[in-house]
Amino acid sequence: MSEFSRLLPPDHFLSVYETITVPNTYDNDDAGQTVSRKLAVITRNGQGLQDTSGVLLVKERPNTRAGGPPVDFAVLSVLPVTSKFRIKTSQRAIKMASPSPNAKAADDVIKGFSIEFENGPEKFSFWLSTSDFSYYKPIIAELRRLSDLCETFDSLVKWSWLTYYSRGQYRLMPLFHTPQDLRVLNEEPPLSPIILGSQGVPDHDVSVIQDHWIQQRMIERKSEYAHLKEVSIRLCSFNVNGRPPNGDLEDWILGKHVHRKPSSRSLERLDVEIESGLDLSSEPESPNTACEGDDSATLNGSDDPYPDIIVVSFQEMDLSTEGLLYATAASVSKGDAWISAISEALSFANGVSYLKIASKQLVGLFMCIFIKEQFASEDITEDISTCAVGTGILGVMANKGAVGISLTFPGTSTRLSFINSHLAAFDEMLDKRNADFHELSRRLRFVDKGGSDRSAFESHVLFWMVVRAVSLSATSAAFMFLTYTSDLNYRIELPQEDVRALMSDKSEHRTASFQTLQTFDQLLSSRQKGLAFKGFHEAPINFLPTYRFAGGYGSDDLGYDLKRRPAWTDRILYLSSPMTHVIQTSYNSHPDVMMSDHKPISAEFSITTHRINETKQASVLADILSKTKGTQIPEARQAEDDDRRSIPRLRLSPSTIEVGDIRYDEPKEAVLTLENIGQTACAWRIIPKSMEGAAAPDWLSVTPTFGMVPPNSSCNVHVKIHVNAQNARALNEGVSILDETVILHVVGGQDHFLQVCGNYQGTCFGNDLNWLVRLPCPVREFAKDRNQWKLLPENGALSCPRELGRLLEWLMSNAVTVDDLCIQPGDPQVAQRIRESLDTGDEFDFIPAVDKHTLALAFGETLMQFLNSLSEPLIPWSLHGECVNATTRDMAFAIIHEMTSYSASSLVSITAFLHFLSLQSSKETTDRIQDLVLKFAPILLRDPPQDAPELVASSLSPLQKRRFVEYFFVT
Amino acid sequence: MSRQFQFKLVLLGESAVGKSSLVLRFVKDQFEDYRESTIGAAFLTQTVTLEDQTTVKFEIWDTAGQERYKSLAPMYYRNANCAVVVYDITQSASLEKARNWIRELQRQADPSIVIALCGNKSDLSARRQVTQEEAQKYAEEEGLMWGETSAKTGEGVSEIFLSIAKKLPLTVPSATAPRGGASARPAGQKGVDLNRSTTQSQDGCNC
Repeated sequence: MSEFSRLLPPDHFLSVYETITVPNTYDNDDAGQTVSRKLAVITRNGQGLQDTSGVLLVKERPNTRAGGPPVDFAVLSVLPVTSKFRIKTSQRAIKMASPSPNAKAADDVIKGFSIEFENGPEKFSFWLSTSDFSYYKPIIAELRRLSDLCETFDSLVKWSWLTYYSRGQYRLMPLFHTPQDLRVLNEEPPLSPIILGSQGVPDHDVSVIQDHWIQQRMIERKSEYAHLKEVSIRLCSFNVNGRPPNGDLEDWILGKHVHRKPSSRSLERLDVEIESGLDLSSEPESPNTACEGDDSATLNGSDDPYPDIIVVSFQEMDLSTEGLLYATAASVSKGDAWISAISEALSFANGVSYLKIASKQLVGLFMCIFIKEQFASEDITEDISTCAVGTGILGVMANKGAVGISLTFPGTSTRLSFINSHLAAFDEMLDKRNADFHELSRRLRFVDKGGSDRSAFESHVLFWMVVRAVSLSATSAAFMFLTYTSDLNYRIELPQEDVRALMSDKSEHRTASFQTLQTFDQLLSSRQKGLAFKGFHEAPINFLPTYRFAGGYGSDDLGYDLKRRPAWTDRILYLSSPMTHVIQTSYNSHPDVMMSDHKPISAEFSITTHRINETKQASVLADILSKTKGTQIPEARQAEDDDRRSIPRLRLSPSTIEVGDIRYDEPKEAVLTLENIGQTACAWRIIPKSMEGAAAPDWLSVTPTFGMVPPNSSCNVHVKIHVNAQNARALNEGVSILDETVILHVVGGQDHFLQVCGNYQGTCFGNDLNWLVRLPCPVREFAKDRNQWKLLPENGALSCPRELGRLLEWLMSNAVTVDDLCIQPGDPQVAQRIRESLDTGDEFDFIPAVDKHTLALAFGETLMQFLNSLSEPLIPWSLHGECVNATTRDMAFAIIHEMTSYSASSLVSITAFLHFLSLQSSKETTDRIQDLVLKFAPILLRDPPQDAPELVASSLSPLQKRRFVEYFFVT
Repeated sequence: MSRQFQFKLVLLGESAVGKSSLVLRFVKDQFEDYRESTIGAAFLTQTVTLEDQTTVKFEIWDTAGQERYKSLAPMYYRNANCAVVVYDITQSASLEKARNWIRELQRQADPSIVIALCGNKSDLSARRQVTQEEAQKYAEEEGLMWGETSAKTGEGVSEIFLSIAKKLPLTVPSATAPRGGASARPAGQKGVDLNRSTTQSQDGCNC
């Protein structure tokens, strides 16, 4: 098969099996003659990624191409060999068409084997006219081996290179029929590693980019082939700690108390109506769906605020010892008791009745789903599948684990999966919890009626209710500590004293305090670091921690157990397909429900479901595919076309992007148009200039970073320039004319150089304090003439940056009586003008027509932003460890003596000003001090970057910061 | 069976000396009177067949001549097996630029790189500023190949590429010839030998 003219050099054939005999219509037993075919396994080296293989059925044909081998092969069928690859063999005799129609010879019937290769919904089969199957055993074994090597979930995109061999006939289209693995969908497509001056693996990149492009277009045009319908879903979760139902649950179950913002809610409804209106006009209704008539009722019936589906999850429903091992009669009856309690709560839904359509229990874990009666039909139960996985003792016991229910929303093609999981307990077991997540991800599989199974991730939306995955951690209340574990998981644990203090902050500080607390939240940080729940979404938490509540003397003012750190242990996350639009409309806890040591939580979502019209989908797909014609790499064309290389050609306009003046924190955007002026579709990507380097400096971003342009059309690329505290420093110290080249590589062809130019306007923001105090003049003047100005010598440095001095002076003379100075945010536009004056050294007399109060707030805001932008906080990180140990005012002041003179005097000026401010206030002085300390403590003692573990080790807890800064207010 | 080789070739030289036109003539046998200047680098391939039936496939990188992109050039001549440095015979300054390129290549490129100096626009010899003797003498001193071409008439174009093909060390089979970055063929292919077929699957052959 080496003469196969289309084999691309990176690929190779592992094995080729000849003379496979296939009846020429092998799906028909009475079929005619046999024909000769070959079977080949083709493998592509994954270039450091996983190797991928496919199996091809090919036929021999004379070669028409001059100069090539006399015989070539045409590919008839292709299947990717993924983890889903299955082989079915059976002995089967077929009747051959006899050469003479009248003769009835015995050898008309030939014994042989039928072989079927199957990968998900795709399959091909053939028949071997042999009685000796052993000849084929090795290839069967090899295909099984290749399939076993694949990950449990695989991106079909990794196999997209196979489309090259099938001449685009085989397009990995199952992607649109069944939901793809959500983890894969949300991943960046695996383009080949490439730098300037190399070609990467062009055919691989073309197929990856092309498939991504097709998928994007299919999603964009979904309203053309799918009936879209808005559906509301409510999830309720409750760790009941073994208690039976007791008390009213309707607020939790139905969310009547949930305050829905009328404006945003009605807006969403409006969108829905518009969408459905379009849809209805463009698509005559097919009569086969039971709930058709209900669509308009749901969409337009704004009288009914109740969710279409309610999913209720419980944890620790049964805490008995036997419950750890097996389901007991008691645990089952507890489930029944809760179901009746829920049913009772549901009766509060005015004019709407719900039916329970599914439930699943694994000892203490229980989940049930209720749906509005109008959606419940006979066939919905057909479509529901459930699963349960234990990860407790020995990895199988059911004290920990998950249950899941999966269903297709009635009348749609949208597959929804719900997981209720209870992960390892105890603060210290973060690693175990993360491991549990991965274990569950692997083992949670739904088996449908047909017997084939699929991962919970193969859904359009996956909702995951997690309990006890998280806590604000640490058993020791006195110290915070850092552990550096073998899995590189930094864990900063917050003393419970801090947690309680931040939770009790006054309402105007609550958002900030919750944000601070959440930076210590293990689930959030695990998710951000990609250790678990990668790609999942969770709405911001605006409710108090849901664990652990105690009664009587054992509890604090808020009712939390004094012995345990309050934590957000109960959470609801989701992961969704780009095909399905999800809006979360609420996320709450229900503190009024008192029966457990946890509080119940709930979340509500509005999702856009789709029902696909397959005929229309096929025609949209065909239309989209027709635009991708010719996107093959030049090499491939060279083999194909006689007139060679209709070279892919893009025109960039403009080729130089001039953005004019670039100022700190004033983002600028430009649009670059890529026009295809060639004959073939063009795949492109932004590539880095060197192996180590990024494609662009961090103040410059280009999106998207890859794409495809069909002939005679164009696409837009957005170029954004944003100088901020993270990247301003290098720019301030460098040249003021910025000139960057971004490389746009046409796959298989040209590199375009895109020039981005601008004049950088230096700023006092984002710098080292040391540099600021040595500036001989305002920063803008300094940048204008580098030759004329020299930095001041160390010993001649200013005592404090002149910009800080100017800000404080203005505030002292104009704003000391403004009670909410530095508390309320300032107008960003006014703050921008103030910043400009600081940079240029101009007087503050420019001031636009704003009232005095607005102006004062803007100055306060600028002061805080300036301090926050310094590359190191005013109190340098090296001293943070000592700040922890300062227990008196004198000790705090002693630390000042260790600071450089300019840091010390800057700090003293600020704290003196703040102290003065608190004395002038019409409010209670202690209150004002409290407010200012809360605002300035995190600024003056800002945490070091996470990538500097030696500094992180000595950082202060939020409460310690407040305490230290407070010393400067005490007189 | 005939042997096949694959080499990376980079074109360097001052702006507007006709690098892109030279490539267009070589690859497509075409000429355009007015060509926009290259902003970036174009990638093309062309295969030449030598007398002994050996085929050489050139992977050609035609780079931008403008001074502002000079810092990116090393990324293109990195791993190149051969370089064609082009000057315009009607512009003596362009030969100076070519000398600079050659010095840079000798200093920074792969030591085994084959360099050809190419005087383009020979159809405009009436306006000649660079004599053949001068250029040839310089090429001999530096051990470079040299030739004059006209992308407009086609004169000398295929000759210069053909002589480069002949001069390149043809002992390395293409599968292991240095190719740009990640496109190099990975070594060591795993898999069990299941080969019971009559046609052997042949490693290392990409025909």
